[in-house]
Amino acid sequence: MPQAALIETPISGSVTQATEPPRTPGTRRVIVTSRTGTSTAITPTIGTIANTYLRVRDTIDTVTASVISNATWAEVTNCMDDIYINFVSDTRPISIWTGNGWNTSTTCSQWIIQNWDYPNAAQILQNGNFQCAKKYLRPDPRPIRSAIKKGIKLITGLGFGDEIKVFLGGSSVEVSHPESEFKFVLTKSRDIMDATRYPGYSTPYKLELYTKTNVFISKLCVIMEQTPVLDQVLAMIMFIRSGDEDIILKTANYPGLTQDRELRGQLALRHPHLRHKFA
Amino acid sequence: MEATIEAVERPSLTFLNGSGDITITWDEHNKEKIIEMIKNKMAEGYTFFTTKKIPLVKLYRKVKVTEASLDKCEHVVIDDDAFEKMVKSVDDRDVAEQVRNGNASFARPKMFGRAEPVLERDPRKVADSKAIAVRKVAGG
Repeated sequence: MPQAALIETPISGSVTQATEPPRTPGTRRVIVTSRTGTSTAITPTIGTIANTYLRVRDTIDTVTASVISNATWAEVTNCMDDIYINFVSDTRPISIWTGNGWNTSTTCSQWIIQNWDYPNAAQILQNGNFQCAKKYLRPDPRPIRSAIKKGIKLITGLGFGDEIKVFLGGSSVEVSHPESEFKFVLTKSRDIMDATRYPGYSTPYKLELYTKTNVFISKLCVIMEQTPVLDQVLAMIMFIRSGDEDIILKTANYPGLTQDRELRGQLALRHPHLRHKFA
Repeated sequence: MEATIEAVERPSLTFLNGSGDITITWDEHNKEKIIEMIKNKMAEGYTFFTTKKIPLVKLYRKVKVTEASLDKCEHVVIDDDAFEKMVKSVDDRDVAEQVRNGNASFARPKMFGRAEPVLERDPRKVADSKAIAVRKVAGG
């Protein structure tokens, strides 16, 4: 693993931080413990590392880890669900930040990485590799499939089966209320399994706002917390069909708002409660 | 397996959550407890939509449940371990507690027709109808 790729992980400023920093949205934490209960005996070749934490950064094909002093928490970024789900092989090369530099050959065999859901699912080996128990390499797809099937069944039962078929097929679904001047366009933008497993902190599909005359207004970013993607689509349809789209419009963020200032001005005049959104 | 094929009209609440969707139903004498839960959920930011087109089949389970048995039977009973597993799989602690305490039971909605949703802010009306609960809406 090239060292340059490892060093780009930001660690400065956190080394002496005694208290737990706020959690970064979209991350999962892991606990780092030692088998012996003392950390001083763990790394004789690189000195004492007391109360360490581990930061793992998982990219497409690399995992980097840094052990930094004076904390007992860890944070995992860029992961879909937890640090194990993207691992496709038994071992991954890692490096440990010792305070003096990256060390890829440190004796770190006594460190076990625990996850809230999968304790002892993985550990760092003496050779610096990161090994996962095989059964934790991938999440169980059954509950995800079950959630998808249940979602489709519910949506179809409620009479929105056509919409969901179009959505799953990758085409855009237009939803609007007869008395509204807006039209919402929903388009699948992520793998449905992935978006069900981890809906994330931004809309797990593409949501755009148009006028009924097909004039683009903005992309919208709005979520129903911890809800699978299909259920979010159903919820969105219900908000719109029930005539309560204002709840969505007031709550949503508007990335990519149209640059047409005249249109924005007109919308702000006609919808004063949304003026701050169209400003 | 003892089973009665009978569609039962009952109030129900379908929660859209991380485990897909979970539908519960309840008896009249447990209604106040459910209303209390709905009030708490509303305070948390949940939105409730009512719809009139979901007749329900209430489920008591006794044998290994299959898709076919669920579709045909009203009363099916499962053992305690399986029940506990089902409760644990619910991605909503409050709903799971209501089921575990016997105030509500799992149900599977049988639906047809196009349901026109109505946003309902009165917990009592929610508890008297077939409703769908949506978690808090937030800007992404």
